[in-house]
Amino acid sequence: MQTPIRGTRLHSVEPQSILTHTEAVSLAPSRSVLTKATRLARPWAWLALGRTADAAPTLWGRMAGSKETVIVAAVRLHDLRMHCTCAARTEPCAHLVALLLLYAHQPAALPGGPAPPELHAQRPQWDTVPPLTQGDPGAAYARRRLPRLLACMDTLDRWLCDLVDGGLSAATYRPDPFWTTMANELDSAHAPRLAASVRTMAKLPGRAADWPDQLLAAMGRLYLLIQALRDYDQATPARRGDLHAAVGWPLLWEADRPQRARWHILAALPQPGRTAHQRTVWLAHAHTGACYAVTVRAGRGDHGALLRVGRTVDATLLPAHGGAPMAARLLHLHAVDAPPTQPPEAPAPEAQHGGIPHAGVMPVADVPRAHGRALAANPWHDSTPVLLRPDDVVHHDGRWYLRGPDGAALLLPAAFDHGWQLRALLLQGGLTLFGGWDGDLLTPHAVWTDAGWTELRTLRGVK
Amino acid sequence: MNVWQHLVDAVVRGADPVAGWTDGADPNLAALLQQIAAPGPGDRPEDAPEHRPEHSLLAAAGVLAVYRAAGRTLPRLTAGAPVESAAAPACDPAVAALLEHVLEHAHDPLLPEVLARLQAHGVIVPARLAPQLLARFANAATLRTAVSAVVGPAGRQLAAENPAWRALSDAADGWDGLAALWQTADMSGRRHLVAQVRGRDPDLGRALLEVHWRQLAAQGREPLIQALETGLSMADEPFLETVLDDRAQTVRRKAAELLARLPGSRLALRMADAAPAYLAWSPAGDAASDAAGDGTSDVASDTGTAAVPAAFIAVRPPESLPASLQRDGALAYTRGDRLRWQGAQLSYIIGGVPLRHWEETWQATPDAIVAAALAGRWPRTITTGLAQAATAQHNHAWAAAILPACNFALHVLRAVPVLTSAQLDALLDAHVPADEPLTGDALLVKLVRRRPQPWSDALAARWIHAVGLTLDATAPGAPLDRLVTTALRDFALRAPSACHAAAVARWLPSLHADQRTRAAVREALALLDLRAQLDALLPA
Repeated sequence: MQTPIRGTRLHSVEPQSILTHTEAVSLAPSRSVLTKATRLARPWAWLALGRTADAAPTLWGRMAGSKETVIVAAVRLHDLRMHCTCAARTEPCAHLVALLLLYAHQPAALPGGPAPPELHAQRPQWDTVPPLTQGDPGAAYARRRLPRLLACMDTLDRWLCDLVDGGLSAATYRPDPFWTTMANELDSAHAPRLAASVRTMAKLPGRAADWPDQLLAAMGRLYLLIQALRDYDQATPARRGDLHAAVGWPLLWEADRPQRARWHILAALPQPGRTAHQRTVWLAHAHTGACYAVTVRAGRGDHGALLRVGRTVDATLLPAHGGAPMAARLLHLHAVDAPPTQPPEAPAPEAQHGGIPHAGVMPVADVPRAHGRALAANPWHDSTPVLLRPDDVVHHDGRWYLRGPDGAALLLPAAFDHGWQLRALLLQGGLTLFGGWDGDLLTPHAVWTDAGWTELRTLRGVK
Repeated sequence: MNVWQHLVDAVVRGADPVAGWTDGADPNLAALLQQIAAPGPGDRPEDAPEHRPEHSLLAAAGVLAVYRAAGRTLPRLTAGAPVESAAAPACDPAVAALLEHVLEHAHDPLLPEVLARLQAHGVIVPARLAPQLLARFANAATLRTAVSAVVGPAGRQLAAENPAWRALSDAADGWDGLAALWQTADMSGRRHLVAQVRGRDPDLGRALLEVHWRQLAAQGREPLIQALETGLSMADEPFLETVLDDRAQTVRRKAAELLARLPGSRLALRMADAAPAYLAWSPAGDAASDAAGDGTSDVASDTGTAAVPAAFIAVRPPESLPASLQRDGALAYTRGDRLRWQGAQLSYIIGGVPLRHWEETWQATPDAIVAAALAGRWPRTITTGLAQAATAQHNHAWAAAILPACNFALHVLRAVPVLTSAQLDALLDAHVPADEPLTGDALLVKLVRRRPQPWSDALAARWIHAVGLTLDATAPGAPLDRLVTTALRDFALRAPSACHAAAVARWLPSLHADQRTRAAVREALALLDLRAQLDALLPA
């Protein structure tokens, strides 16, 4: 019998009625939503506020909308099911985040009482659990989409050859439709990540001194992907998993290798683009430090909202197939534990995750090596999650670096405006950081602070 | 040129790589590239729709791109000064959350109180909040000392590393550091620096100003002399006296205003010497003494003081100002309404005279002197000057005498902050009806809006009661006067936080006014609630 792999089951999870400021802030899908929510998180901004005094306490608020409409926002505390009648497309919207922020700081502003009439219709919908499905949806997806994708790969192949044939120096003169037509065609063939790669390539010519290097490297890796996709039927499950991730298809799960463990939740990053309501939650194995990314819908849909940054959960994950698997599916959430009180330590060598590089706190100098090992296993691997404890945070020539004891330094992104926060944490007792290394830049996602794991996007940047 | 550069060079030109381009590569890599360049029969060329020469270049580029990415090395930075972590005592999470809330929700009026409490309790804020505090208050001179204390040693080291925050670092503690900061600061930064140092060490702040005074342009001297307001004392008098000889009139005037706050200053003595030429005490029944004046008045109609048997103050308005008074900041007007500028000059002179001078010279109490001023022909001019003097010299008795005698008129309301809480409560008991709804003109509103000090329990209770009455009397959907809603914020920031429950119980059941009023009332209650949380976490 196959393990059901769609739909998450919640087992004996204690009601999570206590919400900290950091947790509430981390539920905001973007800084703009957080800014608006902060403005709304004042009792006087609402027409009425309350909390139902029943077995499943629910926060609710009414706010004046435009054209004399009234917006009603509600959050059920124990599982963070949310609903708002506003027209915002973000999930959760600013009204819901504001309600949570208010509850975190001024619970007295939400007095207990009966549920308002608007909630009676919403509650039954919250209790509906997505149906479990059998089989592997990723494999079925591939069966349906592969012929169309392979036909598109032939077009991409010719397109790359034309680009080489004309000489890369001509790429600066290529009209926009040259790039967008190919990207749109890839979108039509349900290869969103390949389309995104082509759109990224379109921006490269002329942008930096080494743009020919960057463009040729991207073209070469695309060509390797075309070749690998033509071999899809003969590929191992791990290679197929890598291809699914590289193309942007639903992942293939290792249904026979569920991993139950305690996981620290490090970050919950909004996914850019059309899936803004989805978040990538990064979990680290409490003992080995192995990191996995779980994609959840924020606000409504499943129990992903319970994966709050800073908490520790007892959960069963289903890793994805792949040479260097980073993704996993949340299969069972058994319990939500108290947050960790100490940052993670470097794991013992035997606890290393089968040679997979993303295990435990590592020295700065080891980061490229870990990324290299991941690339050796999966040539289309783009970013390696790393837990770091750098010796220094340095501002040099207008850029921030994380420096190790031997002087080796990881460059942070150009527009990084949390450098002073990292330096302050370093000076006030040491810095432990979680981020992604793409071979050129380290993008920090979360840091260990007095409040536990804290996402950097929730801290106000300082130039 | 290495293998990758050969390949890039060829593809940029749209040509094949030069012969032997793989020479010098790692042997395994070179073999792989050779294999790609000349695919054998088993190397799957038949899988491609058509095999083109470009395929070999693309495959080689893919292999080399992965090879290069996997073998990338990190740049080396030379080691700087060793990082000394300064482990700070853990800040209570509830305190940190409260500070974060106040910072994020821009409750700026609360921040000085929060910072003062943190400093008083020796709390060091979490590192994640230190940069935000430093960035936000780098230019807030009055809060710099508190911020510098609450960010702890790590925060001060951080401040030393960022030029924009350096004034909050330990460098601002010593003379050399201050001199360096002075050289790099703009005019606004220098004013903040002087005010910051004055808050901690007034003599050091004045010395900093004195050393650089002669190098400053006139437009920079005025704001800098204003910075001496912080920590003003008789020790500043010699320097301020020299500033009275400054070429710029605005600078002289500002220095004179500061000197007028020091009853023992030479300027105050000169003013006291000059005043008898313009003012004279006429005892009760001495109507003839009015001849000492010139018969003019600062009131529109003659108040008929000649018929009043009480004592009054006779006035001889200045016709032309002596040079010594102009040096002391009095303005020599030459155009416009003569009576008006004579009144302004007289008020200025009276404002600079030590108040005890009048009591000693005329052997009268403040109440009697104010009554005599009101009985004369220049009541408004004299009481304006006396109110100025009471404010500058922080004289409670005179403030309590002037305000009710002048019926709390606008020109004397500047003296309200000088009143003690007991005096204010007594005045309110005597002059404010207990059961009258509030309007913008209500005396209670006028007084509380000019009161920056913490409110007494009695004042808070009176305000809660008055606002409650006003809300009761407000029709549903009708607004409250804008001045009343503004004063609600003053209440929230200055009333004892313990009265939060009383305000909630009294106001919320009566809250049927328009949305703006409801929002103002809720905002006031929320601010008071935050202050109650602060009191619970960090008692005053």
